[in-house]
Amino acid sequence: MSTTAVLADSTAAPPAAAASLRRYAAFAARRTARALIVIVLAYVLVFLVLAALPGDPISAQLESPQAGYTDAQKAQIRKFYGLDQPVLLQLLISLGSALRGNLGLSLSTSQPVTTVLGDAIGSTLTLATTALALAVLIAAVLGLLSRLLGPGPLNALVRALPAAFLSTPNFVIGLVLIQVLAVGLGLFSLVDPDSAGSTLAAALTLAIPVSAQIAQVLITALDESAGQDYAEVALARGLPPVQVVLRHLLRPSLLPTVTVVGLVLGEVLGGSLITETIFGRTGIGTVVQKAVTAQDVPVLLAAVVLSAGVFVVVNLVIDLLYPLLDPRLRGTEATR
Amino acid sequence: MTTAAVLSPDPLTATRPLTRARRRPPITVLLSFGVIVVVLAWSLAPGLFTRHDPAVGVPDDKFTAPGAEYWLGTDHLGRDLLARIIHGTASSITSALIAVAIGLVVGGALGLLSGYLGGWVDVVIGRAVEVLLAIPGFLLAVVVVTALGYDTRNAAIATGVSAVAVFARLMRAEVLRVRTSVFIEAARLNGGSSAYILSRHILPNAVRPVVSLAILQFGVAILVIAGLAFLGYGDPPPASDWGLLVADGREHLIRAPWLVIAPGLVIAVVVLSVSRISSWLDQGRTR
Amino acid sequence: MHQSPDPEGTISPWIAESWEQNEDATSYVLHLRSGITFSDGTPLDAQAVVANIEAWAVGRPDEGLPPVGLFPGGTFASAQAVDELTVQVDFTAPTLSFLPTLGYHGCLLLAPSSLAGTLEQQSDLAFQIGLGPFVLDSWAAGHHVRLVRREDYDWAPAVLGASGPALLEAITFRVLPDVTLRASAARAHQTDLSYNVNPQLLESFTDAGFHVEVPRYLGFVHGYSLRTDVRPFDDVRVRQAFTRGIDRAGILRTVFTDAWEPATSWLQAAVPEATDLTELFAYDPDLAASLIDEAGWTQRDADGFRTKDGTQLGFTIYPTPYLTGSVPEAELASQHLTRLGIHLRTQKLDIPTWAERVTNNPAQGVGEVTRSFVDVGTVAGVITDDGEDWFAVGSSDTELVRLRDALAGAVSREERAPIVDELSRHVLEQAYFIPLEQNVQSIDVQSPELTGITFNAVAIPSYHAATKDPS
Repeated sequence: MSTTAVLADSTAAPPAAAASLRRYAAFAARRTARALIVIVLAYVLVFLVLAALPGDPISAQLESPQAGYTDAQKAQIRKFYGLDQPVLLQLLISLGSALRGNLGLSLSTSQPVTTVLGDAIGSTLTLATTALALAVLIAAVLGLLSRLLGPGPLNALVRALPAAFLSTPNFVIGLVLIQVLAVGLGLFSLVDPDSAGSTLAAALTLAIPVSAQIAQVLITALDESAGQDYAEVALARGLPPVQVVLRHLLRPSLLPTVTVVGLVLGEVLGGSLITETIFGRTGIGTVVQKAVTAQDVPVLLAAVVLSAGVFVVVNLVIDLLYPLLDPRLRGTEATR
Repeated sequence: MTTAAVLSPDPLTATRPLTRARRRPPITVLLSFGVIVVVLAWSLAPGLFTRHDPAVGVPDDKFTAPGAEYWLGTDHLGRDLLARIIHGTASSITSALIAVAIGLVVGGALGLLSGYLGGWVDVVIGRAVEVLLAIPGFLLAVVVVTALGYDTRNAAIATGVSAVAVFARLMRAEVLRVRTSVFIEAARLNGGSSAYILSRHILPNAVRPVVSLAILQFGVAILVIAGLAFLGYGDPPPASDWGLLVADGREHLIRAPWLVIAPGLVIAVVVLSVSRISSWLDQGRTR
Repeated sequence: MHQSPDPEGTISPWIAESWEQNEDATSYVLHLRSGITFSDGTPLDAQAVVANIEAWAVGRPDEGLPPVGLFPGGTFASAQAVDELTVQVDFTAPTLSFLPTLGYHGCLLLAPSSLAGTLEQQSDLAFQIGLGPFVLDSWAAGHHVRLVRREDYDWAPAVLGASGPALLEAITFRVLPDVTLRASAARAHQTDLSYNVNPQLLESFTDAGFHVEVPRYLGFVHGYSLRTDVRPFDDVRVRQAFTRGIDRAGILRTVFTDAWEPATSWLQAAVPEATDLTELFAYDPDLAASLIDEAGWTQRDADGFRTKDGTQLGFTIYPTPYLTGSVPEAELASQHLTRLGIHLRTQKLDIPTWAERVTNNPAQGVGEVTRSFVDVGTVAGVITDDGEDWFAVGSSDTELVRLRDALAGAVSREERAPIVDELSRHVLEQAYFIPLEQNVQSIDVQSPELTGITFNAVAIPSYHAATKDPS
């Protein structure tokens, strides 16, 4: 799916048949190198797009007549931030120091970028993992209901819910949750967005559209396995439907579901921008928001590449686990 | 929002066994078409559906709750919300169309080249698509709109850019699928030129899933553009794009909740209709 | 350093117990109060004050540490310690603004060790050692700042009427950047004080028993400045029609509440030198219409807007992103001017784009002013090309040049007052500046239990005497 190239490659990859540790290691190394290249290329791409920005906060501050700087002072300050170099040179310098772990200084707060992101990442990771967990939970409930409820309006409703979840703008969901749960019922604190209640509400906002995507894949996969012979045999043998679903249908449906969980991570990270803004959380999303407003390129660049990095790494892990999860690829268990 | 990454018509959903062989489209699909017809009518002739002025209101009527005079209430300057929604339709629809067109044309072309030519072209394009997919779509749109400057057209372009990879991937997969099929082999054996095979055999066969994706992406684009407008990367007042209405309305949420709920519902209903139509088309494909 | 000017603009002692200035306002001597320490224990002495004044006036721009914009660095000559508690500051020209500027919140006294730090060190609040009633307990950028009471603080400005340590034990500031969230938190009774709530929501807060505070500052009123080298503002009659065509009462009623006051000049009414000049710009649509007729804009285009020689009478306003309410104000002004056949377009911009399109763009006819100052002398620095040249008149308006020189050269406040009146009349008669309403620095929604907050001249709050009744 999202990692087409990667998946396409996996069909030709060795672990399927021969279960030799060495071949799996080579496969893992290749995949990892490729993921790293993608992250570096993402850095270059975002850098170049941002280089097209018309201004930067330093110049805006310097040119403001209120500040009253002389030309020499302006030149000195611009030089301090490396803004006097041509774009490609700036890219090389910036990429070079980024690879050594130095992401530069924020143009608006002059804090090191690593500090800015380091302060924010914890909150976003908490939000993202909570949201993913909630999303999987909601999707699992919808998936099971879709098999357990007999044909009828209720089942149709369960099957229609994901599309409705996906179509509602998440900012509307968030705003309504705040008004109803916090202002109306006083269930969570708006002043302390890191409190458990507020985090849960924010995670729910993110989880609703994401759960829909997982649920759609899960429902489809469950329907597919229900059509398989072994499932029909199990039902014919008189096993209760719950057991059939849990024992026979869920397991083969796990694989596409895990894949889609990896893919929707991008959505969770992108969606955190709006959710964090609405709930007043200080995370990567609000860092991006603020960096955009202040045209703080180093922070924006690092935050976007960090999100891309998290996405790539998680999907890399899923890809590496793939051969180990697939029941048809049991042979690879020997490689563990 | 790379919703399409998951919703994209793929062989899994296409072969779903629950096919109900009916000639008439289900009632939900008919309703969805109805919604689209209303929306198109709103965008073509907004004046027919409301007698209120969307830009100039009655300041003394500000924050009037929905009722007989103002069906959906008024905003902070006493303007009729329904009139603003109706008059904002054309712009909202146009920007979503622009976004889809960009994704479709650029992404489609990339996928076509990648799948058809193969070799190093496939590798280069494949890598580029991989990079684009790695950056969360909404973040990418934010970055692009920041670089271009804030208004709805640029937001539309940014949304289109973030959809390029999705289209490229689907088109490549379709080209590969069709390319290896028997009749292409036959055409090639019969000595058809590349361009001929491409335009006569490959494109027509790849069109249906791509159209289905495009329709779905249209709904996604409405959501993304609304999200960008919500964060303040949209159009100037007194424009009344749907996302902008929600963004403007939320400041007054405590006093006038309808300013957020009504345009939010309109967005949800339209996107839902669009995705229903897309999945219906997609199911029909394999029959 | 001194207690800031109070809302009437007077200056009172604080860290400087007393001061003297010479006849032509070029040399000042400050006598410091003894027994004051920074929160790290270092005593405050004359050397420390000199180091601070040099940082405000000159800074270290090559290290990314600029001087303080409002400090009169242009005429600054030197600062020296005469003895342990006496500082002498010299200027190259009369500088009446020096004393009031010392009360400006941008001029904070920091320990010399803090001043010596690099830009990166100074970006950490914990590195900034001051001498106020509260000290930093913890902070996280963009998240929160928690202050706790300093128990040995005993040098509160006499004018505040309280002494000893602050009454509140601690204050936590939470950053809630989203205006809706701030309003919701206040509404849910989860804050004692919320800043900058949308003015159009205030009614629902006062109805629910909240206390609303809208401190005004010294400075210019909120209004539009017009560049006279950009059409159609090259014609004084068009400018006058603009100012006469805006229904300010209607704007106040729709966008704001009773707590806001109409502008009476282009200066806030609290500026000691300001006079009531309302009659020079009051709403008068008939007069406005006849002025544009007279200016030759008599044809109408298909949309009903006036034209002259095929050109539409119109212009664009980019409402300032620094003021809640600027967008609906511009939208209403647009509706008022539409009735006269003037096409006012509005476009909302973010802060950097706004700076680029408006502040730094000579082709943009309308600027928007929300500027505070601590001393009316600032006015001389904005009106001609010997300064910011807001109206793009250069030196062509000889009357303006004469008044500017008189204002800048004044050596006493008594001498300055009539000059300010004459200058304001001229600016408003020429309609260089379109006043809207008296500006407020912030819109504070307070829970009724919180009392005792005071504000200085630029509307910066002091929490030293604040208390919170348990309820």
